[in-house]
Amino acid sequence: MRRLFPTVLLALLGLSTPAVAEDASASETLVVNGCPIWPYTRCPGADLRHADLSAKDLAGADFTGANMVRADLRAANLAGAILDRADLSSARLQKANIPAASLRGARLVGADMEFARMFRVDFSYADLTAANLEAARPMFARFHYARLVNANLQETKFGSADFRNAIMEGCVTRYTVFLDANFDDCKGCPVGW
Amino acid sequence: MIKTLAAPLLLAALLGSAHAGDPAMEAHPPKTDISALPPVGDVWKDSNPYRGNAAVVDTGRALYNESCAVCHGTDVNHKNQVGPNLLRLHRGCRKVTEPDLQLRCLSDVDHYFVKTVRKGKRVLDVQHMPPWDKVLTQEAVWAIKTFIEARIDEDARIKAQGKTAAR
Repeated sequence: MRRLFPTVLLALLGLSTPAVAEDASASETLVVNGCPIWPYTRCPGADLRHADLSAKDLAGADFTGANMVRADLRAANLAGAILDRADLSSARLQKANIPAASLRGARLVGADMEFARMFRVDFSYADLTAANLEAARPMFARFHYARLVNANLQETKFGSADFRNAIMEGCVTRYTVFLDANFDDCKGCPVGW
Repeated sequence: MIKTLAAPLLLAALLGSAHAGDPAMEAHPPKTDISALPPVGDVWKDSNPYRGNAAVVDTGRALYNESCAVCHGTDVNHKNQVGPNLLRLHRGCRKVTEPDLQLRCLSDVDHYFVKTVRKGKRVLDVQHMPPWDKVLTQEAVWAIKTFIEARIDEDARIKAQGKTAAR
């Protein structure tokens, strides 16, 4: 009954169900387009567009090159996960737990990472254009060659973050903390810190 | 004279051992006899070949306490340890009820475990765990995993008994 409720609600609202094929069966285990949702899952290149992964434990998971456009990862646990070259455009990552994860070359255009915990995350070569990092905590994170264009960095805590060779343009930096950040060869990074 | 010697000596000491004094960052070959472990070949298995084999648990325990306990706690007792709690490795798989998915889940955990043991843990140039590849044999690694699984089962049993007693 609980499984039917969202579908019925969406039908009543005149909306179709999302284009995610949750493998329909009596299974209690969530499997999205062949990708089982549990810690340490191996889903490189998986199609997880629009998937509801909110509050799921995906610690240590391998999502290398996965398509996670508009995926709902709010409050999900992605500690130590590998998301290299994953497409997280417009993904919802509010309050997600992502410490020590690898997002090298990931596409995070328009991703919402408000209040996310991102200690020691590797964002090298990532595209964070128009991303929302408001009040997020990417302390000790690495942003080598990353693009931070028109991103919302209000109250983001970038303590000891590494912006070497990054590009920063048109970002909201009200009350942003850049204490001990490394701005060597960064284009557009703030001065005076 | 002392001043001229002090700087080079200090530099040599620093360069000589990057993790000097930190036993957790040195992967020493274990002294435990592993000759009794059934051979599993040179190619690394995707899943634990010893799973459920009680005969390897004691060897696994000795290997674990020799090589892993310094960070993860003696007999996987994780209290006040710097390393993560290995009793939580199967937390996701315990909820999986379908047999085929259960096998896949355990295989995913095995893969993560073996990758971490062999390559070590290095996050943004900080070494958290040394690589054990070519220090521990495949048999030794799977014996350690089997011991950890035995401890996970034991821990689950104790918790279940505690819940029953509380009712």
